[in-house]
Amino acid sequence: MPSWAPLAALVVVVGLIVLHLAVRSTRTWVWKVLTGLGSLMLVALVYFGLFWAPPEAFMSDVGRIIYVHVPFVWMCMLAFTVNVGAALAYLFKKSWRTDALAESSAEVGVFFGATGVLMGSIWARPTWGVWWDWDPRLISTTVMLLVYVGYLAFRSFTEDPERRAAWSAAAAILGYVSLPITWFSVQWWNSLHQRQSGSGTMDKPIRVVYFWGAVSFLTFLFVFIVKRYEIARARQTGALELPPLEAPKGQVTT
Amino acid sequence: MKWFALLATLSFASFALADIAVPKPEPFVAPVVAAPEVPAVTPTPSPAPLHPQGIEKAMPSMGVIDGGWAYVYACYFLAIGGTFFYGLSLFLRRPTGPLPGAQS
Repeated sequence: MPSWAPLAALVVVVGLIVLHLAVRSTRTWVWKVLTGLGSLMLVALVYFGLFWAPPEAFMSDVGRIIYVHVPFVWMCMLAFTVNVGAALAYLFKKSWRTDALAESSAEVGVFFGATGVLMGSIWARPTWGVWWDWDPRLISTTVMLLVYVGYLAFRSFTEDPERRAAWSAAAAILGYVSLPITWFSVQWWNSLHQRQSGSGTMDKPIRVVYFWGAVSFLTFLFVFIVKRYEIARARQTGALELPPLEAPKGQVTT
Repeated sequence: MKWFALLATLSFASFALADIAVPKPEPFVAPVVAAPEVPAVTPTPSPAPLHPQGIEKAMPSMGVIDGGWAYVYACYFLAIGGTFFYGLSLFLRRPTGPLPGAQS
């Protein structure tokens, strides 16, 4: 992977999100276009990944999991980076928009991360012989996910919106420390998990499908964040009330 | 004290004896019987590679995982199914009323 690829992906996602939020006329159609494009790319990814790409040198056909596992974890990390950016923006200038963006990106990141870890566990069984191993990369990823699950739980437990926004922004910045630890864990410690693959370690057909998968899920990352953002904004303004857990006294529920 | 003096004397004496009694290395004697000569190896022509990309590709797949398609299918199913169902959850949670700032 080129060193500039994560930054380029982040710029694309943040640019699309800013476009979606700032230019009102784009809100109705950009996400639809990207959903359609992402769906088509996903169908093509199934063909490319399962049939077109050559088998990996040592893992053979099991290596085809890389085309979905790695993009999912990348999207998780991108979403958490958007989260910390929104949290910093909130602390510099208080805005419900950045608070909603932080909430939405954290939830989307947890979705991508949890699914990516699940796929990694499935991949570990034929390659390592076990479903799970207490390896530095696996531990750091799990800790990172638990941090963000705790972040989301903290947001749902806190009733005061201003306190929730300020404290969760601070928690997001603290929690982001886990991301570079996860990324560099395979370089800092002896890990069963392989190091990051790059252009020099992959043949061209594998590399092409690898990035195809990343771009496919990048479109869904954008769509999920902006759609979840709309839900968060609606909740902030009371437009979308959650149903009460218990019926008020004197009221009979049917 | 006298025992200590005796011990010290014996120690120094043993050191002196040990120094004196260092055996000299025996002189090297060349073996009488000459080693047999190794017969010259005649190079044999290597067979033509079985694979156009070299002998490594033609070798039997040692250390390569065989099969495992069920794991691959499971991961792709999880990726597509997860994306679909998370998208569905967002659709079901969508706000029905006007979004904030939509009227301004």
